[in-house]
Amino acid sequence: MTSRPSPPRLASLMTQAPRVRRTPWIALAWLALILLGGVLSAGAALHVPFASLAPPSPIHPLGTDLLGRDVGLRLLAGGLRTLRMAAAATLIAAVLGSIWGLVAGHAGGWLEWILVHANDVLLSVPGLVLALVVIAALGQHEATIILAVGLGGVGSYARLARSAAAETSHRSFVLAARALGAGEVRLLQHHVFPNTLEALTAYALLHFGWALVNSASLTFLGLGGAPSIPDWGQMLNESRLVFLNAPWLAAAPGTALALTVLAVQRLGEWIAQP
Amino acid sequence: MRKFGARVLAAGLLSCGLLAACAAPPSTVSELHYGLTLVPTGLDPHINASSELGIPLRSVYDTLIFRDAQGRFVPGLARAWTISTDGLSYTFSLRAGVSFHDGTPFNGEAVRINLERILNPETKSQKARFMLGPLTRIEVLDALTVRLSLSEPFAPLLDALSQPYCGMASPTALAQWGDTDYQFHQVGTGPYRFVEYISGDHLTLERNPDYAWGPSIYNNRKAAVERIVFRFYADPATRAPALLSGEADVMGELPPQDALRLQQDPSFQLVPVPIPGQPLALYLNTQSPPTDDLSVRQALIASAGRQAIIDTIFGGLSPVATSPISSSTWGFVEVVPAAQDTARAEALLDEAGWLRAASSEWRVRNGTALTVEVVIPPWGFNPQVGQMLEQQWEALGIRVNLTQVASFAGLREAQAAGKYNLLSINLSGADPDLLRPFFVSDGSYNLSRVADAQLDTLLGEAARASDPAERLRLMAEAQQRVAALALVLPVRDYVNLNMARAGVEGLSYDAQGWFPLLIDVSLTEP
Amino acid sequence: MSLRTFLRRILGSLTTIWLVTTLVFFAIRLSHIDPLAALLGQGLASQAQAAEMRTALGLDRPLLQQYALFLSGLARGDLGRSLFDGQPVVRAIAQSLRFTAPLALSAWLLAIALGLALGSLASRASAWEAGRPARWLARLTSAALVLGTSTPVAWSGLLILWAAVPLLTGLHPGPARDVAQLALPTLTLGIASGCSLGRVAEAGLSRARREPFFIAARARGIGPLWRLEWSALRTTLAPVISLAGVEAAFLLGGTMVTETLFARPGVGRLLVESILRGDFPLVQAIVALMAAGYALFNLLADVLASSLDPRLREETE
Repeated sequence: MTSRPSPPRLASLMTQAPRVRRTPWIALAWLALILLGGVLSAGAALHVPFASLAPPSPIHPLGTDLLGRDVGLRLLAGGLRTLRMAAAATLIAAVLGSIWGLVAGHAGGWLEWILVHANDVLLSVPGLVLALVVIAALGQHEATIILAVGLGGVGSYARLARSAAAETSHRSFVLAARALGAGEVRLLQHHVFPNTLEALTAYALLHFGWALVNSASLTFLGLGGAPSIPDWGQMLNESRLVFLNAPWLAAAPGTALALTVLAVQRLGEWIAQP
Repeated sequence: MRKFGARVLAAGLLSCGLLAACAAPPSTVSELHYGLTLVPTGLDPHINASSELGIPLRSVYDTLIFRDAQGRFVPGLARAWTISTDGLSYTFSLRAGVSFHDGTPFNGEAVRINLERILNPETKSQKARFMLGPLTRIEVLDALTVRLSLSEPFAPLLDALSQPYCGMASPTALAQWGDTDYQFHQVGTGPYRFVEYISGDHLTLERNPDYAWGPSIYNNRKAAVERIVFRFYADPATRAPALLSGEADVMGELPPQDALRLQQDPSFQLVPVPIPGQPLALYLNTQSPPTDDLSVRQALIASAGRQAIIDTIFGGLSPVATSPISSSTWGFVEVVPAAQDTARAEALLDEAGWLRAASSEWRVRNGTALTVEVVIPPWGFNPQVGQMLEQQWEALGIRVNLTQVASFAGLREAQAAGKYNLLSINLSGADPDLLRPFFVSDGSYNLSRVADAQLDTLLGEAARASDPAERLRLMAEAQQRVAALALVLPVRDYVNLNMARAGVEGLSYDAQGWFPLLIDVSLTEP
Repeated sequence: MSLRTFLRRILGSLTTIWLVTTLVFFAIRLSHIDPLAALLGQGLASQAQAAEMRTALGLDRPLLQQYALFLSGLARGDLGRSLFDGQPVVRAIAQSLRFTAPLALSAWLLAIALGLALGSLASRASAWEAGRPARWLARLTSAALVLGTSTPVAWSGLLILWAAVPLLTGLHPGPARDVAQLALPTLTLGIASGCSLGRVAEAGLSRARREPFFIAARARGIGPLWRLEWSALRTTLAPVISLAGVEAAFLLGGTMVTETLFARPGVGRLLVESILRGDFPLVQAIVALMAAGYALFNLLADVLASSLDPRLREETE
């Protein structure tokens, strides 16, 4: 552990990237499985009742739930719904947050001051609490959960966008464009935004995992409004009541959720690398 | 940094170990740990409405009268009573020699103060006030006689007076603590004294050694268990673990799967108690299509496979509900057949013009698909019941949109919006008069949006009738009318699955179903 | 941090808290949730009686008037009474804080210890001087950290609850049991929070490992490793501390799921119940408290970070 490395290695160490750039095959395979499986299971009879609370067997590899429905099929269908909700929420957060932050960072002055403080207000409320208030105000549907989770993510997005924009706005090419008479909006659109896109996209992928967990937590709390459409958070919730009799019911959605977030993170890191 | 963290962890574990080694030996005072479910918003029996608070307070307060298992009224703090022929006047002769836990003597004046507190709009009573109905005046005729005057006859009054919500509290304590603080310092006359209540955490009762009498429904003269500590287990998934780890000796409202499992364990005993009142039921909206059509309503009710629901979700531990009130309620008659009849349902729908089409999986009439909106709350396995009904109705070609709201407020909101076809709310109570707000045209729970003169008359008269036989007849007719109009789909009678440790003996519940008679409980091992 | 900046931050925080409270005030009142519905839940009140109650609670007054009343009460220090049990809001919150505070504090401490320990372990994945097994362990730890952040607390809490049943059996009521009952939710929250802190620490430490000073020191055999890591950590402490600050505020309020699972009547659970019941005064007060907590912890974190890392100190004007 304390042996000295030879000098040539020393020099290369300082420039070496932290991880070897390996394609994350496992992560991609998992995500493909979830997406493909979700799409293929869309037409399947999810509601057909078999024996209630049957343990995993060759016919039902993940067992059946309280109402006798095959857990594997519900898992795949639920995966698609959960992923869709998280993706929509991330999109909302990304779009709103980027606009907010870019305008703030680029504009400077009092506009920036207002936007930053408004952002602080948003960030002051913990995500779950903000989601609850939004849902209380707007009712419980899948759409409000998406909105609630999206709004919860806007704050940190805006912060990132603002610092990226502030940094870019002071670069010489922007100053030059301004000197040449370009309007502020055009500057924002054509010069600032494209240069911050990379940072924002990278963050979006990392943020997706967060959105996934949060929307699953909200459906877990029973706020999704439509109990018959499967969803991982909801399946987790249902599994709690029969834990003594069927512990395998909790394993499937929980593990699937964790593995999916892991896979998305890995994917995000891989794409984000320069 | 890592070593520092490891050191902190090690220190923590060591201190835990030391504490465990010095753990207190088992208490020599006999103590029962009772698991309650929902944390009530407040614990004042005159003010708050949850059934949870009655569980401990039934034993802290005595009431003027008590109701026995057969539904008859027996003397309590009142030795005897008479009702005037016009039903407007009730005169109670009170028991002598009773005092409250703080020494204040119990007398007619105490009764007046208690009832007036309930009736006073400033008290903001959420349940007791409405249970007393048209009670207007309480007169103290002498130290041990009171007369209650009503503005119109009200048959459920005796049942109201037998419930802990109308329990007699010490006027001294009421005056001393005021409306907001009294709930933390309650004083009654019952077999147990109120010791303390830490909101949301626990409530402690201690045996009252001076309890010298008791209504005939109590088997023991004196309580056997010295201390009872109530804790809250709002989340159903936490109740079985608490029993298994010994944290609770008795647990109420155990989920059916856990109950079935623990029943097989000889160290536990299942004490199922049918709760009078309304079963888990869905109300059909007569003003929102397609349930505005009687045939559609009848088809929905006939095709619901209630026994299958009970077997799958409730482990077969409840009876199928066959009336808008449950079979353990006084006045129950069976009006909705328990058996599923899909053939009849199909015929009804065909006759109504809702035909199966080759092009769609749903029945169609004039180009629109047969769709019903169902609204359910998240508790009591309602979501699972809703999903099973959805499966059953979809097999018939009926499209179901199932929506779940998060709270009781959400249910009321849905009720006000009126866009539902079926909605599930249910209340409990031993008197069938609780049906009235559901089925009279101006009732606050008129979920069916029905305006039927016959129901208005029947239920109104039943509330005023003083002759029990007459009341029974009227209530039977009312239930039959409700079934004829297909206003409600009753699913299952509520059975409270209480589970107790094998050493707990004598656990029984009162006529309301919810409230245990703690004076009769004893422990064979402390 | 200069005094002027500090005071400016305080002022900014107060404005933020006021804005948050106002927003929530209007948001919940404009929602469909009717406090009377839950209030009269099991009661059989008629429409007339319901209207009577609404007036008594002041709910039928125009919104702006209610807001003015609320502000004047706030100035007097009166946060109002709960719409449900009439308890003063301050007392209800104080009582629930008794349960949340020890949980939040111990979970936070556990999170910091766990986060730093695991983060340091995980950062060794890129350690050039470590052997293969150490690097694999590090990668595993890194994956475990992500797993920890992506697992809903509700699920991990349930697993912990069930795993603890055999441990709790036979434990008599007393101090030992109380400690055990605090330990379970602490573990649940601490692990979740610790994993998220750990990832930030891991990122920071991996970066620090590539810094010339670190490589040079290790090459010269300077140790022990942990002391070197501590000095490296100081350079990357800022994001860790600010995240720890945010986590603290989160723990204070976002413990709702854990509190329901482990039957602790804390602030988080009180907030959810109040929102669902439409208990406006309680909701406002708790959200304001959380905003204040968030602002306070952020401020403290920034002060601490700038004192530890000279690069963050402002230049004196």
